[in-house]
Amino acid sequence: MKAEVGNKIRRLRFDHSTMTQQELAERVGVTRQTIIALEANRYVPSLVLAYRIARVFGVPIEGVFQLREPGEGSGSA
Amino acid sequence: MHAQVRHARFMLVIVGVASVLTVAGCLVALNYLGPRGAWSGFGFLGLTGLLGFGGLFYRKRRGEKGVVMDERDTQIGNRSSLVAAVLVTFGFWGVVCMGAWFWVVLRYGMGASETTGIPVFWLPLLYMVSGIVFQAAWSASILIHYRFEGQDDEG
Repeated sequence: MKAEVGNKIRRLRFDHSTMTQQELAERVGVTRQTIIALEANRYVPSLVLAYRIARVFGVPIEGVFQLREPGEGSGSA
Repeated sequence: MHAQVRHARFMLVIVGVASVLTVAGCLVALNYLGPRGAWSGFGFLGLTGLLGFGGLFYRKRRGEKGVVMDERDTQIGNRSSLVAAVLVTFGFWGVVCMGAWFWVVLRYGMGASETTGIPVFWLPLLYMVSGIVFQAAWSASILIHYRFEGQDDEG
């Protein structure tokens, strides 16, 4: 069992005037496929990308990403 | 389609065509020119020089928005390089080195393996083939990674 990083990107996009994946991708400098992978929890971003995403949504990094240790209940993502 | 996927497909096609033509060329030359002439078939490996055009896939097209490569693509590329390197080191060279050793031992006996050598002119060929195996493994790994990670899900 290893720790997982979950995120609320999908929810935050909808809270921000239904921002599209493409718009978010362009604003943080990645491809749309990377946003798709992030939302599906198939990819853990670098710290730089995580900060950029948090900055786009105007929230602290913990407001977007959550570390889930083994044995912890699944947080809201 | 992602630039790295197009690049991987291009590499697989080039490597595949070059390999098929090389084998066919060697067999045809062997038939008409004999064992020494069969080496001329390896001239088809020169087609792999086309791999040098791979960088063109990462050019940004006019009017194209966003980035061509990002950190995730780089990570997939690095992971594929690692897979290919391991395959060449422990797969290709394992088969070549251990295979040659076993062949000599089985054919000539244990004592012969201490005095039997590989002709030096095989070394450039082995070097080229290991490079081709690396390119093919890298491309295949890229395609597999994107196939399993690239599902579309707009929301």
